[in-house]
Amino acid sequence: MVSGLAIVAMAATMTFVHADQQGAAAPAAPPAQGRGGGRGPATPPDANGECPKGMTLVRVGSCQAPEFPPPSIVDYRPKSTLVTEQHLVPKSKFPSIDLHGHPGQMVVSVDGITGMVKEMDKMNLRVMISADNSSGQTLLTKTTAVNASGVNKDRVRILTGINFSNVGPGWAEKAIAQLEADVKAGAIGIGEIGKGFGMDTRKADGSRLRIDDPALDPLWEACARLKMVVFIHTAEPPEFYSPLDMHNERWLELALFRERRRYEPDQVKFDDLMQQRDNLFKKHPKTTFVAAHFAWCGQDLGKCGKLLDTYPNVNLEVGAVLYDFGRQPRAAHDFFVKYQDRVLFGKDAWAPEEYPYYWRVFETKDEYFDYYRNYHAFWKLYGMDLPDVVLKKLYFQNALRLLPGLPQTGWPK
Amino acid sequence: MRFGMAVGATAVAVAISGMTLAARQQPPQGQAQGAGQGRGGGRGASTPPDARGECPKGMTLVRVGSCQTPEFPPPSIVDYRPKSTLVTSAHVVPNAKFPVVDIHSHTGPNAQTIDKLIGEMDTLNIRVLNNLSGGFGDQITQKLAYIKSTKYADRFTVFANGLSGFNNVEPGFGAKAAAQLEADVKAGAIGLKIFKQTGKDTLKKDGTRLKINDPELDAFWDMAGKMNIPVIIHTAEPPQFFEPADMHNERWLELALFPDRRNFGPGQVDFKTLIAERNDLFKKHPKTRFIAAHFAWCAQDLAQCSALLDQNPNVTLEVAAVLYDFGRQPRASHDFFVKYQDRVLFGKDTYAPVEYPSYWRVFETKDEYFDYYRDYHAFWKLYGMDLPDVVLKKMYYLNALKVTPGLPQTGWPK
Repeated sequence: MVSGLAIVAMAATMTFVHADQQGAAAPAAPPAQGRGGGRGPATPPDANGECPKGMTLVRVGSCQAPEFPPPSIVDYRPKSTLVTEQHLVPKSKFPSIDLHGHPGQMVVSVDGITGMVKEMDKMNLRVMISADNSSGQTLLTKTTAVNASGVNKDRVRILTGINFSNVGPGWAEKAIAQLEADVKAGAIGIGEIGKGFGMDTRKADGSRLRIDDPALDPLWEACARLKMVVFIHTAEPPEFYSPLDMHNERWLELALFRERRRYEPDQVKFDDLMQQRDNLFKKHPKTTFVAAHFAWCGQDLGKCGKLLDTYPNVNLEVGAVLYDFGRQPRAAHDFFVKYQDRVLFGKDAWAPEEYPYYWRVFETKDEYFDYYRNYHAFWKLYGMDLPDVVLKKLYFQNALRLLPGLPQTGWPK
Repeated sequence: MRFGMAVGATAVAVAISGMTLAARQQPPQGQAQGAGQGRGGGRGASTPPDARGECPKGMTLVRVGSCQTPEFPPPSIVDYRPKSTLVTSAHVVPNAKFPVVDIHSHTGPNAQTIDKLIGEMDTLNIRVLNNLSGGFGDQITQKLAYIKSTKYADRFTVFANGLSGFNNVEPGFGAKAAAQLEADVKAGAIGLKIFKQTGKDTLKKDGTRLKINDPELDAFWDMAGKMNIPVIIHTAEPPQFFEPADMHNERWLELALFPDRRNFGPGQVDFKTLIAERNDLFKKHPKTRFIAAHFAWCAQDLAQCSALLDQNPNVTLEVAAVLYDFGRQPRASHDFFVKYQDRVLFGKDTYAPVEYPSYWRVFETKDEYFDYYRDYHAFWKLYGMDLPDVVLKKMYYLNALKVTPGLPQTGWPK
């Protein structure tokens, strides 16, 4: 209990207080229902049912303050007393492909790749896709390293990127020429198109570049012609666009990372970004898109269903939204079964110890277990218990179909 | 965003200062390359967690091996009230699917309340409200006489409470208590309730703690068996009440609110001792039927409940005030309730009409991630157990009718 020197002091005080007040002990019958402690008298909640600051509801219509100052949300770290079956899953049940990889510099050298593959083997990750927007010379360096890595050459694939800086007259031709060169150099798709696209990126004339800007149309059509999947991350979680108040589910994350605060008046609104993205999907039905982070509708699967029903050229990737599947395991199960051909595995941040949380949520029926990052979610996770046929599609089959440049042989049936 | 007015001041200030900072310190726009992973904010440098993986006070883990402090002081656990952004199908269940016996109530009718009570019970589909706080002797006969005088005599029942709160037990007490119980049952009590103080706090005449398995009470328990009534027994408190109220205690808030629930002080009986004494009682009186209130405090470890039921065929479990443990493990609870469908009874404890529907929802639906009714019991969300009708009927009334023959036995659904 290291967090705790201060805390131990508090516990000791409580023990003392308790010993002090017990004394008269134990009225026999009737039951000791609802004897309040706390500081001061009970207060009714307001018209919305909310208790005043510092208080909590103790009975219907009655708020009280605890006797001791309540700890902060980062200092209170309750240990679960629940004893249930635990099925840790160090390796994915079927070989997996990480569409949303950010191996960064690990894939510029054979040694880097060798080291990474060792970690990948521990979790049954067969292919790492570098979604680091590697274009031109950067791409060549990486594909060269991959090709030189012998037995590991099928363990990595590289996506190219699009440089959206200074979009203006002549931009599309240049971008398409670079894309064609990158495809020749071995890129198997495009991405991750970053979240700055739509939120922050400026055109040559200084205005904000819209996701559905017509100047980009030739590029998206070229992607279809070249059969290059577009892996695109648009916007941030919806909570980042709401004020940093006591009702915001992502308070902690927003208080930690100032660049994630997207609620200032001059920033593009969430719904606007979603609309621009959907316009893009609609304008280019022959271009295949994979929306990163489940298109930020993991918290409202009805919306995801509508998106997929409306746009047959769109697929969803699961990176960094595990917390939303894991808090609605039954609804998520039914969604993944229904849309089993449209979901792809991806992890985002490279942290080998975090992948097993994904396997556990997808594969088991476990209940009430910890997520790996408190600032994403303060709640517990539950397993979705997906059938094998869906797991295979999620882990590798859908990726193999959408990205023909992936190694296509040697996979389980 | 209302709670707001009070909290509001802080929240707004935080939001405003956040905006200013963000506007000023926003990183350069629109990088085409690079995913912008893991740029930390917060105050000061990152710190590694300790050997147990815990971050220092005031910090949280932001990446593997790296703790940071948020830029703004983190709110307290009572002030942070996040609104769920999850959109899922919600099935609110205002009335139970089948009529219910609430075997664990402390509310009975009087002339002022009876019509209101009946109205509420009808809305919730509670057919019988069983008052466990009957008392003994005159107290109980008065309650029963009133009930009998109303047109709702089949809606309210009463359990007796033994004798004199089991204070100052000495040789001969057991026989006297047995005689009192016999008289109370003859007067119309249909069961016996033992409160949590008995066994934990109550002292014998010689100044020692009265253990629940004290041989002096043997005749009393046997009388309950002989009179064919159940004994609903509340032993101990939730296990967390016997642990220090530190930052790891799941019930910190409840313990900080209620001084009388702190059972971790020196000189207090520990949880295991109380449970062992209770289990010894169950074993010593196989012909007496016991209903362990609050699921015998093993709902957080259902394998323990299984062992208890397997070893003691005379024991059943009652669900009051542990809904939070079923609701956080809906699949395991479902399987337990199906396996032990003849051994579980419905009870609510505190009579609060607005709270019953949380029970129906947990038992009957497949809903996910919904609120419990009392923050200090549980900070987590609940999930529905999706129990089949046959199990719901047994839990809501069939098992109660079997265990408690004095309940009105006719007019129930097949």
